[in-house]
Amino acid sequence: MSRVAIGSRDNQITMALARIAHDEQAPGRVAPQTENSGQPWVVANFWKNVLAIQKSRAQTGCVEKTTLSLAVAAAPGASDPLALQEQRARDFLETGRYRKARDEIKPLCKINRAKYLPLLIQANQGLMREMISKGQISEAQQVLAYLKTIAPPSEWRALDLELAARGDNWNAVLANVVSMMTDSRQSLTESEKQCAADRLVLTFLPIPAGLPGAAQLAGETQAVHDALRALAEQQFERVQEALRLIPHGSIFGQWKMFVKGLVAFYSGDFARAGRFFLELPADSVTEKACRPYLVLMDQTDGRFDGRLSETAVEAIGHITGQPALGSVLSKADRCWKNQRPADSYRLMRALADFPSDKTDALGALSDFYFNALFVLPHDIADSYAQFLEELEVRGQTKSAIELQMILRVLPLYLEHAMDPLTLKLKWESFVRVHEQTHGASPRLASLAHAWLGRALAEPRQAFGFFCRQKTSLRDPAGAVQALRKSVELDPAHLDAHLKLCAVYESLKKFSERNRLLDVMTQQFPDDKEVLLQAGRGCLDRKAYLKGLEYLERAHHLDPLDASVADLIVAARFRLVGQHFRAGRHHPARQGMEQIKGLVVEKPDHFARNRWCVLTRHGLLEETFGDRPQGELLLAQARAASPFPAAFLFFAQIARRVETPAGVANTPFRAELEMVCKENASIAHAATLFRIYRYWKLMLNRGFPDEENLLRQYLRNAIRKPFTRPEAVALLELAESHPSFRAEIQNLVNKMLAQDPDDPLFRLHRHLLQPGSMVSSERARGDLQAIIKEAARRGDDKTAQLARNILDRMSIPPPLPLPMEDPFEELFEDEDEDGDFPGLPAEQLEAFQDTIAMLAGMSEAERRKTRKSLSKHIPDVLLDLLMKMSRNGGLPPLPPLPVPSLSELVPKPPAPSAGPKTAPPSPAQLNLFNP
Amino acid sequence: MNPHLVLDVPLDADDNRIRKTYLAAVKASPPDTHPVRFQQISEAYQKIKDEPSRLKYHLFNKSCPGDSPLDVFIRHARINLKPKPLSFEAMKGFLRSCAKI
Repeated sequence: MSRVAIGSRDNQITMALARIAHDEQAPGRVAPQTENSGQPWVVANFWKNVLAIQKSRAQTGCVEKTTLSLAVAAAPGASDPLALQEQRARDFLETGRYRKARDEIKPLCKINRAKYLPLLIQANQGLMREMISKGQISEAQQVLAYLKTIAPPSEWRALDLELAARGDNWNAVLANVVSMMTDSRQSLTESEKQCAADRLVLTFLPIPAGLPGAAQLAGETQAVHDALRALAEQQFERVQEALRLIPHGSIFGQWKMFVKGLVAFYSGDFARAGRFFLELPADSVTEKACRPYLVLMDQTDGRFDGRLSETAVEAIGHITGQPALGSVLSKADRCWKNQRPADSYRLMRALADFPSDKTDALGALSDFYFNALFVLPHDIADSYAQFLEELEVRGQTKSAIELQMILRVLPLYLEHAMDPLTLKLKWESFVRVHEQTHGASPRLASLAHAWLGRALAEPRQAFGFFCRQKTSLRDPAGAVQALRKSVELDPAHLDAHLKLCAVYESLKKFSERNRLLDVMTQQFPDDKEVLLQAGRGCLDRKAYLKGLEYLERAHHLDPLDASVADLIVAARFRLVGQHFRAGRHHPARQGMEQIKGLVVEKPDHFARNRWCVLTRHGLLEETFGDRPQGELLLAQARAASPFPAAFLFFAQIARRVETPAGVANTPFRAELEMVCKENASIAHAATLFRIYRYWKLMLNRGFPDEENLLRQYLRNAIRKPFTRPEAVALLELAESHPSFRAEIQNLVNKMLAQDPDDPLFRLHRHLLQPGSMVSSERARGDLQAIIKEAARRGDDKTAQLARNILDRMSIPPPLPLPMEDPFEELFEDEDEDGDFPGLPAEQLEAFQDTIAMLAGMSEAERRKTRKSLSKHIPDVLLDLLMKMSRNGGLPPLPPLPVPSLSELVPKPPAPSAGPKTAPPSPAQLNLFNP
Repeated sequence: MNPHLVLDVPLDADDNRIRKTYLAAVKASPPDTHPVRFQQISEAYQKIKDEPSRLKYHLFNKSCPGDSPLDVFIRHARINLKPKPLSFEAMKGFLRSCAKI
């Protein structure tokens, strides 16, 4: 054998080999070395091997370098080439790649049949099993035919049986198994006997009588069949009787165990059933059959849950009385796990009773399919919601229940993404459909409308001119309407009343709120929250006695609620002040006695601690009543106060509040200025800040003079030494007061002078810089350095703050609206045709483009776009654009050019003659009323 | 999972029946011996104990009863597992199909 000889046999392959060999190894190396090895049979085998492999590759049209290198590696001189190839074949076998393993072993088998035949048989067996499991029966039969030519019967008998069973040819199976088991010449292994027993049972056919040696086999098989039949009829005693015919050590032993397990399962003894099932041999028919039962008993130990076969799922369906569900569920589950919820839902939808609102399995699955929106990843949930919405919008829902479920879940899921109008329409449709399917339920309708009212009353940020931020309600008119309806439908619905009350208050509709509160106090006379609200309402309209009556009732209901007591004290002080000013000293002092009953011993509780109450009482007495008594009370207050400046500052503001307006130069002021110069400290400054904040929040007004005093005090305090915790406490108080910016800046600078890397103060320095929220390389760098340093020091709070600021930087600033809040009036009365002052032409055009774009979209696309736009455009504007896109867009613009806002305003016609062009009507210019 | 199913009461059961069933269930599954079941029963009862709770559950329930359809189905089946044996023919078909897995 030589290379020339090979070339003459298959010139083309030889040339290819030579070319690749040239690339792989130095040409001339393989052959000369091989030829010089002095072992002609090795050389011959080498080239034979190469050719065999290459031929198989050439047939498929691909000559691979790796194949050649395998052959080259197999050459004498290379390191143990056959071992390498064998190893590769074994690797393929181990990883279940039987076809590749077979292809690797075949040439090896030609070299050394005795050694490699077992591997070849193993590869073919594996391949056959794979084909059987994939249902490739005819291909498996071909492999079996080949296997029969190379392997003894013991190697293929079980597979032969399995193949026969696959073909559902049970008579043939029976004949084969019986002959195999009764033939004394054949010695069967235990596993073969087991397999044969399984097949005999599965034929569910009687073994013909009279066959030599088959009597026992026939009896035991019949016993298993009888036991299964009795089980199906729930005749558990008959089952036991039948099983007694199967002796200990029988090849049907596992069937006996399986049936016993079933009896225990259906008798409710799950522990016993589990014990039987878990003893069944792995991968036997009985073990596979017990899997659904183990799953139902929750005794799988996580073995099959993730990979239950379709058969097992179908069986669970059968066992639980849902035979139709099993196969559909298996497919739907696969779709779901492949993140295709809409496809999964489509499959389930084919079932007649799905979706369902009952408590059966279909009801549970319906709950799952709709509520899954709240747990799916956002992108998948969004597209799934879109699918559900399309069913609804296109009128393709299969039943009223499906429509109702879609109409319920979409507003709940898209509560913040839907524009108010759509939210309202869908939710009201849901209530209507629910009434149709379940009958009218005023309570349910009331709850539903209250939810809508709450959703429409959500506060949101609106942006006025120059991005001035204002908080408004999402749809105030809609919210009021929904909440009123809720209250009408169920007058006992407390939450709806309270929410309506809060909405009126935020809309500053105080008369409506007060009327409602009057109704509420009659409807809910013993509800603390109602009484508290009613009390507040009365205080607002200076009906102190009535307010106090409500508040006292609330206090009686919950004496531990400090906020009620605070409100009572505030109300009493107002009443006492009124009495003092009117000269009614006796009732005033009686009122003071009642206040003293609510005094607390907390120095920082300025609403009703002892020294604050004494101060206010002293001031009232001093000004309107008994002056010496007042001075005495003030002296007591000073002594009880935590430090002189606190008393002086509190008294300064209290005097301004309690005594005639305009009194700024009180005796306290001069003393405070002196204390301020001498004894100012950051710790005390924090207390003064709290006093200032208390008065400001309580009376909802500012005190510019006292603010200046505080500023002065703060400046002096910053000049003196202070600790970091004191500075942090003050910062937390002062950061919400922009008027103290300069003082805060000083404080921060002083702290940074001590510790230049302090992350908290660096963050404050960053925030105090103009444009600190504008994204820039420098700002980002600063914040990242702060985060790093805060993480190093374990200051998680500062790190999180800095991260939040970084995140906000990535959001583009909102577009400014052209006027302060043009929508406020619109909310008041949507039908009003008020003139819209107009927009710059380019913005108007941009809006028109956006509206046109939205108008061309489906509702679902519109919503998706809205979601993405909401990062850049205020919600209030988006809602209007959405509304207009549905109504067909903006009215036509006046002819271009549209140079400025003022020119869009209609002007009186010029006196000169000539063709008159009609000016655009106000309605045309009104962007919000097309 | 649907609280009516957990407590095994019909959807139209009134407060009285739900309470009776709840008390019976708690008696059957006390917290010291059946802590998981007890918790399920208590949570279910809180959801449907009176009409406002039931209506709120009906309207605003957002809880997803499982991880996948199969998981839900199995969980549902486990709650009130009262199976009946398969018919002989169904069992025959099931066992034969197991041989093909």
